[in-house]
Amino acid sequence: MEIQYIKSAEEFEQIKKENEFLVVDFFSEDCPPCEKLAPIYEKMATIFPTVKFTKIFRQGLRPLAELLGVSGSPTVVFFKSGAIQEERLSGEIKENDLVFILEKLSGASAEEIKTEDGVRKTDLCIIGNGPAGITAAIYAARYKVDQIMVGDLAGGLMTSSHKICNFPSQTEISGMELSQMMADQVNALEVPQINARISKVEKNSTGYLLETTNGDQIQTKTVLLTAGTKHRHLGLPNEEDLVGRGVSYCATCDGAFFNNKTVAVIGGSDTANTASLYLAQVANKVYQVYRKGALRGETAWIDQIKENNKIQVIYNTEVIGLSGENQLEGVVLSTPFEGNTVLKVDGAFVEIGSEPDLSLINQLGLATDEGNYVITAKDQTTNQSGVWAAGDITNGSNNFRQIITACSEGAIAAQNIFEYLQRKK
Amino acid sequence: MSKVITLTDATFEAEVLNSELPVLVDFWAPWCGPCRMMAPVLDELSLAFDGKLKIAKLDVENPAHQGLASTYRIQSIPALKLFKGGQVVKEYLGYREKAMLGAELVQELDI
Repeated sequence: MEIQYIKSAEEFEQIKKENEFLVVDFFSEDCPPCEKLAPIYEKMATIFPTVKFTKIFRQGLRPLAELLGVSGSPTVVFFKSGAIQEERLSGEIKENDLVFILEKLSGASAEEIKTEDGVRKTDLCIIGNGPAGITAAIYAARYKVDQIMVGDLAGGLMTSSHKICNFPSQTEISGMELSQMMADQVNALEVPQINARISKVEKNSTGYLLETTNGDQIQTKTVLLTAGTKHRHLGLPNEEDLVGRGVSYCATCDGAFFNNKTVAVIGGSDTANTASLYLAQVANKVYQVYRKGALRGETAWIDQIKENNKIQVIYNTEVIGLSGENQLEGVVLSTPFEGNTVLKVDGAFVEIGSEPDLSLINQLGLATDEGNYVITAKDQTTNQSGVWAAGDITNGSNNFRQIITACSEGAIAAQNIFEYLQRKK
Repeated sequence: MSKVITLTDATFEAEVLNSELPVLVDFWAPWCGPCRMMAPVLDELSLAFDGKLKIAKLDVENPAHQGLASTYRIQSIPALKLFKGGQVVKEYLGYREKAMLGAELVQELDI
């Protein structure tokens, strides 16, 4: 929609009356931040068709500006049903802030830079916004690669870690906090992002056409797959029925509901070990059931488990059943424990690792190893030209799946994609 | 933009139990990743279902809300419960995508 220049106070009153959503940019001449804002403002006018975009030369309508409390340029003020809104922007105005207020004002979501056919075009689409995706986006942003990141949880799987102690610069931090810090960094770089997942992939002559679960379409020259892994389930017949009724896959999410109760943690990796330690702070008693004879992972966690008198590890035992109908009552063990095959618990936390989701891997035609991890080369390329993979979803970094190695793979991929795009130019 | 209502123990009865419209209540907590994924989905659905369904959320981390969490047997979050006439008629556990949850709600509400 065209931007209207308002020349008089009467004209302003008229427009204010006629438009449900109105935005006014007070500008001045010889004003660098005003000039910087101009193209962004024009773009917004195309993105938000239900909003009326206007401009007022501040020095030309000074009384009106003063009436609205506008004393500097540029200042953008917003009106809804004729009423001025609390939010306003001035000085160095960022596109993200403008989008945020316009979305709030109009209730519409920014269908950013859609081309006429409704397909958004980009050079790089990063699928996933965990540490691998975010690091790649940070590097790509600094290489000025035209990119978009699609993901539904900034931080990914690490958001469910209650304590991270092996990420340099952070002596001890929760997964949620570290995720937020990473998200803040990528947001500050103004990386375009879509809060969704990719549901459909189609290869074509110029790259890949991707469709999000929101229905957005993206035509991209290159793809970086950082979709990570999902929690593995036990695969027991009544498992799904008991989810939320005692069975959980996220100790940090659900642990608090088992205050002073008895719980089981199933598994023996770092994730299971940290879940036990976290739950021991809440629950009365934690049984950790593991199929092998010794816990694996970081010795520091294992030592803490051994010292914690609330945690009892049951070794060489598998969980082969779940008892209870509408509420979990116990877990059935492969080997009796203290004479009983059913271990009575109020909650069972399944921490038996995670595995890649094959749907996107298959749609992209990527080669995988026996564990369904995407086979990547040292430069994070895959068997498909134009497709890279990084993070937990790959067999890279010697199969050592950590936040730091995911970041590393993301950085390597971004640099390699940048070089690839340069060569293609 | 969102029309999601923030509930407290004090407003639960009036906003949910005595509501004329059906109410979808999201029991959530700030520490839970999937709950954070749910938030924008519910924001969007609150606009799409405006006038037909109220969407509200209750932070179960708040000690004052733990009575309600226990009344409604919350053991895993996000837990979405659909109330009609003060009764829970449907539950949705865990993260759900917008299209999927929207379709389920349309079916449940018969709209």
